[in-house]
Amino acid sequence: MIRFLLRKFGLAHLRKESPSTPEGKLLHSDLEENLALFREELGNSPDVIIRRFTLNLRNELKSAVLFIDGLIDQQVIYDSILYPLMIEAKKEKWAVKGHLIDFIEDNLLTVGGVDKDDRMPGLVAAVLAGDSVLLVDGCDQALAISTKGWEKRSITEPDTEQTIKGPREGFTENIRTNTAMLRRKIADPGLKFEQMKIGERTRTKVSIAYVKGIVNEKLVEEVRRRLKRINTDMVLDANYLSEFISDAPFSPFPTVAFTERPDVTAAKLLEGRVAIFVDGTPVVNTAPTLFIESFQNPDDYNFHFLFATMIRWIRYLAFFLGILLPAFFVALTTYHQELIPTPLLISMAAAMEGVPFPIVIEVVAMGAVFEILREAGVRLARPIGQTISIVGALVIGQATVAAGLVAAPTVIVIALTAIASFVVPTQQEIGIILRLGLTFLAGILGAYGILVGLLLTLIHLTSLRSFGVPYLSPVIPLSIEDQKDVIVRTPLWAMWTRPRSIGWPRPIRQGFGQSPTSPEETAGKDWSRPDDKKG
Amino acid sequence: MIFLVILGFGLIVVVEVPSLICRQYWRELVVFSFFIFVGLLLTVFLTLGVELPYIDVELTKLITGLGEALGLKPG
Amino acid sequence: MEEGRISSSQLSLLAISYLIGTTFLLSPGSQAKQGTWLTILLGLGEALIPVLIFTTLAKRFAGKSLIEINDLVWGKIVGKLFSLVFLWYIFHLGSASFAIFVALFKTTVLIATPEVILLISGLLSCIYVSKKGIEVIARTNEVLILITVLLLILGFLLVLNIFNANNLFPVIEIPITRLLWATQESSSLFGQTIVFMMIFPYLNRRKSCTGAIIKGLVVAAILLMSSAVRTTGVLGKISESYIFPNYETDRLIDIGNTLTRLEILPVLNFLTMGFIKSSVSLYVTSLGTAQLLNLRTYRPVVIPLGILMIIAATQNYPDISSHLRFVENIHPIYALPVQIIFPLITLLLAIIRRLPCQGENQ
Repeated sequence: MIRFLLRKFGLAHLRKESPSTPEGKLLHSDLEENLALFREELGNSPDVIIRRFTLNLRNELKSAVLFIDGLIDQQVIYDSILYPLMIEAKKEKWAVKGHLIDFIEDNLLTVGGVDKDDRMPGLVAAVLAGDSVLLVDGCDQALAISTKGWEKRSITEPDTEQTIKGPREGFTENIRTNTAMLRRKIADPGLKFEQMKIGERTRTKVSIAYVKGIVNEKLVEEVRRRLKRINTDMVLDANYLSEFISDAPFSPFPTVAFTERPDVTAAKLLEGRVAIFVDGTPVVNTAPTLFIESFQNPDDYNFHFLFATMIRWIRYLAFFLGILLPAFFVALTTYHQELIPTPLLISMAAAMEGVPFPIVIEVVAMGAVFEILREAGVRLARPIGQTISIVGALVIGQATVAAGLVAAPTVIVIALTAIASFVVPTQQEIGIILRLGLTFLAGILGAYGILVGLLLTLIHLTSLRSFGVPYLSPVIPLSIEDQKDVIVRTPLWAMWTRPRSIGWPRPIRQGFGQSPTSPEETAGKDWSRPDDKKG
Repeated sequence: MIFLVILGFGLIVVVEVPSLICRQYWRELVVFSFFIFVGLLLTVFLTLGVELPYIDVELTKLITGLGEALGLKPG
Repeated sequence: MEEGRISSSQLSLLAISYLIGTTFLLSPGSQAKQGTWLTILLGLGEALIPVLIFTTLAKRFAGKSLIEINDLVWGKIVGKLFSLVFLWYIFHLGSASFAIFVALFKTTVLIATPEVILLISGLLSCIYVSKKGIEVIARTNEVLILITVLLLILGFLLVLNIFNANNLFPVIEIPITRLLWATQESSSLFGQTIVFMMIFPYLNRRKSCTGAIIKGLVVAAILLMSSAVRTTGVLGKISESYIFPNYETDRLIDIGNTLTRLEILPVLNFLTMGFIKSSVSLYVTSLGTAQLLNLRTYRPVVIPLGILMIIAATQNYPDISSHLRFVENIHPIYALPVQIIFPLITLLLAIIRRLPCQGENQ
C-alpha cells in the first residue's frame, strides 16, 4: 500500500537511493602529500593532531603520527609509539631488512593492535575510531596503531532496573566494558561475539552475542540477516536497531526486549536467546522476546520461590489494574450500576453529585493530567521534580475535588492506576495506549466495549511473533514444561529444561531431581545431568 | 445516514483495493467489487427502510413447501 | 492460500467453541423439558453418523477441502453447486450467531445502544482474526475457551445454594416422538462440525481429524448437558418459558447478598464463544468462496462477506421467538442435506469412481 502510494506520487526514487561509497584512494610515497590527503578528508578540525618527528634508523626520515585528541590514550602514544621511534631507534644501529614499515611494526612498536593499510578509507576510519596512524616519508603504506582511550562512565547500578538483592552493576556506554562484563558472568568458551559496523555515518560497533551449543543456529542467522539489511545514517541507541529488526513494526508491544543488566542478559543468553550490544549505549537488546518476560524480574530468582510467586501475581494484578481499572470504572458507573453493591453505589453517587462532566471525560482528563505530571517529573532536574509531585498531589488532587470539578472516586481510580502502571515497566508504553483505548470503548459500549477491546488485543497478541517464536509462547501454544516460570516461579532445582520455544535444540539445563534432601538419601544419588546432546 | 454508509464503504475500498492493484490480483478485485457492491446495495436498502425478506421465514416456506410436495405433513 | 497449521487438540477446542457458541443461550432440545440433558446425550450419539461420514471423506481425500473434494468427485458444475449450498449453510450459521448476539444485547445489557454499533464492533474483531488466519483463530480460542470453562464451573458452583434436584424429575414426560425430534434437533446441532471440513487440510496430522472432532463433540456435549441440568435445577419447569434460560439462571445467583446479579457471566461466555463461532464461519465462508472462484488469497473477500454476514444477521428473523421455532422445527431438516446427504453421496460416488486416483493421493 505504501509502496503503491509512493509510486503513484512519483516518489519511488526515494526508496532506491542509497548512500554512495567513496572510492578508496591509495597513499603516495611522499609524507607531505599523504598528510595533505588526510587534511582533505578530515578538514582543519582542531582535534585532529599531527605530530611530526624524525625517525632515525638508517638515515633521518621525516615521519608523523596522526590522531584525534580525546579519542586516544596519551600515555600509549608517548610510551609505545613516540618513545621507541624517537629515542630507542637511535640507540642501536639497526640493520633494516625488508620493507621499512614492516620493520617498524616488527621491531619498534610496543602496542598490541597494529594494522597495515595503504588505502585512505580504512585509515580514516581507524583514526575516527581512535587509532593513531603512523606515516613515514618514502613509504606508500601506513600503520594504524590501536591507541583507543577515552573518558568512560564507571559501572553503576542501572536506575531503571533496580533490584533489592542481586548484583549492583549495569552496562555502561562502552561496548568493550559491556562484553567483558558478560564474559565475567559466562566463562563458557561457547559465548561468542560477532561484531559488525552499522550506520553509514556513525559506524557504530554492534555485537551479536550468543552461547554456541544452546542457541538455535537459525536464530543467529536470522538476527545476522536482519542486521545486515540495515542501511541508515546513524545508530545512537539500541532502539535505533530494534525498530529496524522487530517482527511487527506497527505493534505497540515490544518484540525485542531491552535490559541494562548483565545478569539478566546472561540469563537470557543461557536460555538460548541472542543479545545485541550497541556501542555508546548501556541498553542491550535481547531476542526473541516473550510477553511473559515483562513479568519476570531478576529479583524473582533472588528470593524464595514462594515469595517470588506471590510477587509475580501482584505484578499480573497490577498490570491488569493498570490497563483495566479506569475502563471498568467508566463502564460500571455509566452502564452497569446494578453490579455495584448498593452501599458503595450510594456513597459513590453522593461523591459524584454536581460534577459537571461525563465520567469518561473526567477519567480521560485526569489520566492526561497524570501523564503530564509523569512526563514532567521524568524530564525535570531532580530537585524541581519534588515540586511537581507537590503541585500534582496538592493542587490538582486536592483542589479539584474540593472545587467539585472532579469526583473523589475518579481521583482514587486514577491514582491507583498510576501506581499500578509503574509495576511492570516494560509494558508501560503499551499500558498507556491500552488504557486510553479501553476507557473510550467503555464509555461508548460499556463492559461490552471493554471485552471487544480485550478481544482485539488478544487476537493481536496471539498473532505476534518475535523472531519466529509466538509472543505468548509458554501459554499459547501451551507448553506444559514451561509452566514452571509463568504463574508460579518453581524452585530453581525444578527448572531443569530450557524454554521450549527458544532453547529447545539442547533442552536439558541441569540434572533432574536435585531437590535438597537428607544426607542419607543423597548418598546413593547420581547427580550427573542427562545427556545434553540428545533432543 | 446514506452519506455515512457510502463513506464507510469508501473507506473499506481505499484500504483494500490498492494492495490488490499493486499485486495485480485482478480476479480477486472483481470478486471483491461484486461482493462489496451487493453489500452496499443492501445496506442502502436497509437504511432507506426497504422491506427485505427474512431468511428464516423464506427457508421455512421453502422447506415446508418441499415437504408438502413430497407428501409429508409439516412439523 | 493459508499457510498456518493447527494441532488436533486445537481443532478439538475449536469444535467445542463452535458447538457451544450459540447454544449456551439457546439450549437445544429444550422442548424435552427436564429431559434436555438426555436429548443432548442421544443427539451426540446420533451425530456420530454424520461425523464419521464426513471425516471418512476427509481422510480419503487427505489435504483437500470440501470444496475441492466436491469439484473432484462431481465435476465442475454439480460440485460447485454442492459447495455453494455448503457455503450458504455456514454463512447462515455465522449470521445467526451475530443475530442472536444482537438479540441478547438488545434485550438485556445494552438496551439503548444502536444495533449497528454492536454489529460493527463485533464484526471488526471477526474480520481482524479471520484475516490473520486459522492459526491465530485457534490460539485465540485456546485462551477464550479456558476462560469460558472456568466461568462455567464457577457458574455451576454459585447456583448450588438455589439448585433444587427435584426439578430434574421426572426425566421424560413428553411423547416419544417429540423426544426423537428433540434428539434430531440436538444432533443437527452437533452436525455443524461439518464446517471443519474446510479446516482439516491445515491439520498437523491429517489422520487425527476423526478423533479430534469426536473429542470436541463429547466435551461440548458434557458442557451443554451440565448447563441444561443447571438451568432445569434452578428454574424448574418455567425454564422453557424464557428465551435465554441460562441468563435468567445467573440473574438468580445470590451468595450472602454480596455476590448478586452475575448475569454478566453468561453474556461473557456467549460473547467469547459466539465470537469464535462467527469468526470460524466467516473464515470458512471466505476461504470457501476463494477456493470456489479460484482466487489466490481469501483475504480480500473477508470484509465484503463480513458485511454481508451482518446484513444477513439483521435480516435473519423478524423476532427471536420465531428463530427459536426455526431452530426447533426447520433446522433439523434444513441441515440434513448439508450434514448427511451430500457428504454421504459424495463418499459413495467417490468409492464407485475409485477416487482419488493413485497419482493424486500423496
